[in-house]
This record gives sequence, structure tokens and C-alpha cells, in this order.
Amino acid sequence: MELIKPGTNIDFLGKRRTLITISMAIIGVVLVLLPFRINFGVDFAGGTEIEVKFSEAVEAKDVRQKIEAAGFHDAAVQQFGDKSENSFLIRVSRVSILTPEQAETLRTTLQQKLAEYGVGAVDFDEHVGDRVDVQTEKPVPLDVLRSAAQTAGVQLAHGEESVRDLTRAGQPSYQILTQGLSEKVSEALTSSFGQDKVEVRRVEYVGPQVGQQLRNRGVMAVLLSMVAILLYIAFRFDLRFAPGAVVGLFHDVAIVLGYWVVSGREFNLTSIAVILTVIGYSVNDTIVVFDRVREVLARKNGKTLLENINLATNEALGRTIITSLVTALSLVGLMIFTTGSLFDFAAAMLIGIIAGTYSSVFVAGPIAVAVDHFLEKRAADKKALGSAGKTAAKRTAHAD
Amino acid sequence: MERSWYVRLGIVLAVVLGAAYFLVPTFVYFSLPSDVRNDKDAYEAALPSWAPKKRINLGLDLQGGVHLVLGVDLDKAVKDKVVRRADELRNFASEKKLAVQSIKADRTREQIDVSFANDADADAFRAAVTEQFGDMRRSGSGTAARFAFDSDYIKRFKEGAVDQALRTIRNRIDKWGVSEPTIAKRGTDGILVQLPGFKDPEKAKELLGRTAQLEFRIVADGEAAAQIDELGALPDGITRGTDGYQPYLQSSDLLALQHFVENKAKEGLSIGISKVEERDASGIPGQVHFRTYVMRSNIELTGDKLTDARVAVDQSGLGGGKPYVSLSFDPEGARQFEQITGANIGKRLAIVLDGNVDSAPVIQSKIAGGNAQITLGGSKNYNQLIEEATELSLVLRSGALPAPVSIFEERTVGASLGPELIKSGATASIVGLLLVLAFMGVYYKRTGMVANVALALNGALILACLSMVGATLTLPGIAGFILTLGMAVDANVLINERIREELRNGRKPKAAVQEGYGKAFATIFDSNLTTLVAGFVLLQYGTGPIRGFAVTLIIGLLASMFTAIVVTRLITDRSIRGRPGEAISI
Repeated sequence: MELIKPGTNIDFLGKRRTLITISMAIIGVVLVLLPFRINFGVDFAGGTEIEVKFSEAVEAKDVRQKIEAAGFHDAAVQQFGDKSENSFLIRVSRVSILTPEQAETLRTTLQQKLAEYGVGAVDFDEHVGDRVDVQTEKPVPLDVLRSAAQTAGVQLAHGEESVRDLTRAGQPSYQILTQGLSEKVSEALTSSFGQDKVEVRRVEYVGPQVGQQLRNRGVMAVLLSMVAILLYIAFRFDLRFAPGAVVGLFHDVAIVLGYWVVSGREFNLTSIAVILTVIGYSVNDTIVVFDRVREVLARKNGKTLLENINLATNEALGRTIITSLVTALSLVGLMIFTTGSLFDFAAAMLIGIIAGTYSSVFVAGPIAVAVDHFLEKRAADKKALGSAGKTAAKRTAHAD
Repeated sequence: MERSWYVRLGIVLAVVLGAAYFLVPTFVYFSLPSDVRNDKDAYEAALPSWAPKKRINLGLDLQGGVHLVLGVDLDKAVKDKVVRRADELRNFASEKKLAVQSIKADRTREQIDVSFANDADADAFRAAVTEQFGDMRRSGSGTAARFAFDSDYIKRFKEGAVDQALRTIRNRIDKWGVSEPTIAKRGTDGILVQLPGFKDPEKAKELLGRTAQLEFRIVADGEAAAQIDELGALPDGITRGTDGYQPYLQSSDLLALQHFVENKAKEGLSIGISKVEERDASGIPGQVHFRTYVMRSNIELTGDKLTDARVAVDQSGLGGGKPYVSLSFDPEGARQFEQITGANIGKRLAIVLDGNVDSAPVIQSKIAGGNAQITLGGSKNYNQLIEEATELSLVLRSGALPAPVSIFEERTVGASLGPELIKSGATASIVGLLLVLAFMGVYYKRTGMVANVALALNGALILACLSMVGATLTLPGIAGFILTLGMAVDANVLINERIREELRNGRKPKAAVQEGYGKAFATIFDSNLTTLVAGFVLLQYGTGPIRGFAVTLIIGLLASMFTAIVVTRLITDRSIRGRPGEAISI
């Protein structure tokens, strides 16, 4: 069986200006929409994400209502997986259980109620979120501190140690632990739907510093792998080919980002893995074509670079299509049988494979031709200054 | 058949057998029921004695458990330290009779403001403080002075604070008996804690966030023998030993030992447990076991009276250069310590952190003045002594200057989600694999089937490598596995397309195969290498489950180079042998 008949001769480079314009337009749209449409998951944005499963049918609307009643007005509730699964993904972008106003109320309440103990600093760090540090001049009995905090409307952590004594070397110091955010959300659900009807299956909480850190690492990883791969190409292949591979790479990454821009699905750590794999895959594809170009050029058939790239692309076409097809086939199972991040992985990867195949045929080659023209022209101009006429023959050989 | 063919066959068979060998533990693990397989004893009992020990572990996202990144609040620790130091300066001033108007700690600026009645007092104080506290720099002139820690000291202090928190957390988790926890430093101020199978994140957060409790107790060496005898017959796994001061019980099973001695202490006594790490001659830690200490039940002194603990080196004497741990107490602590040491000369003082007896040095003499030294004995070399002293100072500081921790990141996966994910992941893998196999069989016929054999072997090799290094299989790791199988076929596609081309150019099958493999190799190498680069970057920069993906991808690509080139060549060479004219099924 053969999908691509031998002797196939498609003029891939003929329409290169139109196709490159279309590609650039798509990339432009994706990049412009990116900041508005990208939906950072908790990995990068910070916040809490909870996956719950109900033992009976529940409407997303009801779930949202209960969460809002618990004081989370920015909660996003999403049906997760098949409807019959009764699973929901709840996302709360806030990371701290106390709003700045509540923290302020707590501060003034403590200062009033505990005036006799001389309240010093009341530190609440929004980035930490579930802890308030209190310093006083005189030791405060823990019970007094606990009830003072409760009158300020702060929900304390469960367990014996909601108020801790951290007094050291005569400096009275205490810590008030508030209820955790994820705990509060799950408690709101269990109390309104019934303990045995809700199962909290997964909780992800990422603090804001970590989100920032993970985001930086992700960007670093993408840039670093691009640089490493390009260095390899520049070293292994003709310098003329490197720009084509670079543009192809950016093209593919931009198109893959388009998946998240269009679908609005969550962009998380797995997405970074997809992008890096697409980078590897895209260059892999481009290299196979370039390898062929190198081989065809070695034949010294007297054709122009453009014709040779066209020829090489046609010769490698069988492999390019089949490999992409097989890789795509391996992802079909994931697209059918999984939900959530694995589904996104498969879908985005599929788009990456298509983009990678397209770019190695329609983007990398034409750019190599353009670079070649540019270099030849410059060389010719230089020589023209010295000995006019000598290079004319060479130039025509490379014109298309 | 040529000799080289048999050599290659030998290599391939060896690899296959090796893969099978390394897959044994993983196979045993997954064939056990899921509630039994994480029990170390049950697993080891099911494992044949000749099998390797390492196996594929399931990531937290697949088997359920708690993943926490705890952040050490270093800024707050520094501020606390400033307040502390202000107290110390106050004590120092009154002790040395230096006239000072006021000493105030400024938490926000992390400095200590001191004011004096006149310049002479100020100069005297400055000179004395500079001599005593070398880790501070001072500014300001006249009757007002400011002291702040120098930046080197702050840097070391912060590093120490993270180590201290790490030590405390490890200590606690050891006590819970969680199987195979991960506890590691992450970044400059983070601590990663992974507790597979742990179900209660709130409890974990509460316990880990708690301040370490440091206690000093007197070891009851005289009463120990009677107490140990009274415990009765020892159950399996618990044995009796002696350390020259008192008899003790020991076991490698902490929970069993705890359970056995629980509530059995006589009036006025308490039985503590200590983790003992055996070290070989070069100081490399080995087996861990636990032993008891019979102590008095009375807590003589608590950690909050301790102001600091640091490693110092004794430069005096002929044998100089001996490291020791220096302790300082606040005034109240100093008084108590003087009394305790005075009343118990020759006895041992147990240092107990969070219930674990860390060490029990002998009290040599009455110690007054609030500064004590713990010298380390034994015939250890300098580096080992320094290490031991550092450990001990960490323990003491954990109780004295707790560095507050907060939760940076929490990921909890319930036990029911994992099996479902594994199931859907496995189904997806099988469907993907079958589609690839079917396509290759139909498209390349016999040669395609050969590639399929290689692909199946590739899958087994990936699993065997993961098993061999004891890697962790995560959800993205499963995706990586499937994707790698798809990409691994690339090498065979390249080779087969080449062979077809050579055949079209009129070559004989044998020559076509030769050329096909030869010409495709460089391309396969180049193209795999770029994906490998991306994989290694991911391994470096990724976290948690994503690293699982990178590991699978890297191993898969390396394995595919072997299976797609060596294994298929072996079979193809065999099938075209002696039939040079016959057509090849491709």
C-alpha cells in the first residue's frame, strides 16, 4: 500500500507567498488574542481547584450557588467529563481565606479586646493566606485570644491547635490559624448536599509565589529548549537552514497556543510539556526534510535550490505524512477515553503534529530559499563592486 | 548466517531477558491487590528472592496521596531573630554593667535601635558589642546607634532556617510511618513533601505547620533495667541491647516499638524513642532502627528558654580543632539550667525534639551563666564531628527559633480517582497502540509486522528501564508513553520508505535493505536528538508529574533507536537470507 505515489511532484513552494501570509495571519491573531483569552490554571495563576463527584445528579448552577453562599463570589464551576459522572471542577482564584477587609476587622477587634495585653503587630500576609501572627507586650491566655478572634468573625482551623503560642525568650507571640480555603469549599458542599453525597476527589492549591515561579520556569524551559535545538541545527546543518527551522518552530508553538486561545481550556503544567514536545517534534520533522535537501543538493543535478527543495520535499513526503499519521493515531485513544488534562494534552499535541508537518513542508523550505537568495544577492553585490560581470552567471543559476 | 548476525542476536536476546528480569518487581507489584501492594512486607514476601528490588512507582496523581510544598517564612524568621538579639543585648548590657538608655527591636527595618545618655556610654557599649557579637554591623553616631545583622550572617541564617524546618518535618513524618515519603528542599525557601496514600491533608498541614517542641529531660539510667524488665516478654522484631549506661529495646519497626512501650512507664518515668542511623566507617548512613530511652517524666527545661545554638570549634589545647555545640539560654533558662546541671552531675541530659530523643550528653559539671557547651565524643574524624555538631545544633535551634512554615502548594488526590485514571489511561494506551500496529501491518505488510515486533519490544523496554531506575509513573507519564510509541515508529517509517525507494531504483532486496538502513540512520539520529534535547530541558525545569513525562519520553526515544534499528534489521536480514532474488514484502 502506498499513500504517496512515487514520482509525486507537488509544487510546494509555488504558492509560498500566499501560504506564508496565511500562516503569519493565523499566528498574528493567536498572539494578539493570547493575553485576553489564555486561561491560566491554578498552576500558573494560583488559587484552588477542587474536583468533586456527586453520587446523584446535580446541576452546575446549584453547585455554584452553594459555593457563592460560602463567600466565594469568583468561583467557576464546570461540568467535568461525561454528564452522567456528576463530576465538577470548582475553581476559586482567591488564595487567601481572609479578604483584606476581614483582616483589618480582625486587627481592630484584637486591639480592642486585648487592649490590656498591649497588642503590638498583627501580621496577615495575603500570600500565606491562612495564618495571622500576633505580637503582644504581655502574655495572653490562648482561650482569650481564640475567643477574641472568633468575635471578629474569623473561622478558625479545626483541631486542637487553632491558636498557637510561639512565645520565645519573653517576647509573647501567637499564631491564629484560619480554616484552609479548600477545606472551606468542601465543607460548604458537604453541609449543603450531605456528607455521603459528595466526594472530594482532588484538591490543588497553588500559592501566588509558586504560580509566578512555575510560570517563569515554564517560559525558561521553552526558550532554553528552542535555543539548544537551534544551536544543534546550526552546528549540524548549513547555516542557511537555521532561520527556516526557527521560523517553523515559532510557527508551530504559536499554532499550538492557538488551541488554548480558541478552546479556552486551562493552560497548566501539562500544556508546557505539550509545547516542548511539539518543539522537539517540529524540528524533528524539519530535519528529515532538510536531510533530504542536503542529500539532493549533493547530487549536483544543476537545478536551483528552490527546485531542489521542492524535489526533496516530494521525496520525503511519504515519510512525513506516514509518521504524522502514526503519531496522530497513537493519540486517538487518549482523545476518546480520557478527560481533563490528558484530553487537552492529546488534542493540543494533535494540532502540534499537524502544524509541525505543515511547517516543515510549507514554512521551513521557503524560508531557506529566501535566505539563500538574500545571501547570494549580498555576495553578488559585494563581488559586483570588485569585478563586475563575473558573478552574473552564478546568480541566474539561483534565481527562480 | 554470518557471525555478526549471531552476535547481534545474542545482544538482542540479552536485552530482552534483561528487560524481563527488571520487569519482575513491577509485575509482582501490580498483580497484588491495590490495598496490599503498598504494604512493604507483603510486597517483599511476594517478590522472588532473586528479583531486583526497584520497580515502577505510581505517582501521587495515580495512587492518591498528599503533595505539599511548604514555604519557610524566612523574613519572619529574620525578624524574630532581631527581636531575640535585642533581648540578648539587653542581658549583655546588664551583665557587663554597660549604661544604656533603651534597646528597641525594629521588626520592619530588621534592626535594633539603642540610645545612650552620653557619648562615653555609647563608645563603651559599641566596643563591647563589636567584640562579643561579631555578626552585627553598626551605624549611627553619638548617643544613638543602630545594629543590624550583616548580610553574610543573614544568608547563613536563612539557609540554616530551611535546614532546620526540613529536619523538623522529616522527624515528624518518620513518626507517622508513611511508606516511602519524599521530603526534599525545593528552591531557596521551599520544602517538598509527598505522602503517598495519605488521606487527610488538613491533618498533615496542621501537624507539619506546628512549632517543634524541644525538651530537656534527665535520663533515668539507674531505673532503666527494672523498667525494661517489667515490660514483659518481647514480641517478634523487638530485641534488647545496652549502651553502657542503660539497657534498651530496639526494633526496625517504629510503630511496633511505640505500641509495645506505650503507657507502660512506671510512675515518674517516661519511655522515649530515638531514631538511630547506623553509619559505616566512612560515615555513610545505612540501616535505620529505633531504640528506647528510659527518662524521668519531668520536663526539666523547654526549648523556648534557649536563645541560640551554634557550631563552634575549640581551638585551644594540643588536640585543638574539635567541634562542639554552643548553647545560650535566656536569663530564666540560664537559672533553670544551672540548677538542673548542678543537681545531676554525671547523669545524662536527653535532648528531645518532638518526642524523639536526639541525643543524651553527660552533664560534666554545673553550668552557670547561660552558656553551655556540648562536646561530641567518639573516635570520629573532623568532618563527621562537624556534621554531627551541625545536626545537633539544627535540632536545638528548631526548638529555640522555630522558622514558621506556610503552605505554598497543596495537591491532594483521593484514593478513588487514581484507579479510574489508570484504567482510562491504560485503555487509551491500548487503543492507540492497536491502531498503530494495525496501520503498520496493513501499510508495510511483513516489514510492518517486523516493525510491530520492535514496537512491542520498545514498550517493554521503556517499562523495564522505568522499573530499573525505580521511576515514578504519573498521569502525564502515561501520555508520554503513548506518544513515544507513536513517535518510535518514525524510525521504521524512515527506514521502510528508504527501502521502498531503493527497490524502485532497481536494487536487489538485500542491497535495498543495506542502503535503506544506512541512509536512514543519520536522519533518525538527528531527528531523535532534537526531541531528546526538549526532553532533557523539561526534566530540568519541570516539576512533579511533568518530570515523569520527560523521563518516559527520553527513555522511549533511546529505546526506540535500539529496537527500530537493531531489532528490525536482525529480523529483516534473516528473512531475506539466501533468497536474493525474491521480492521483499514491504
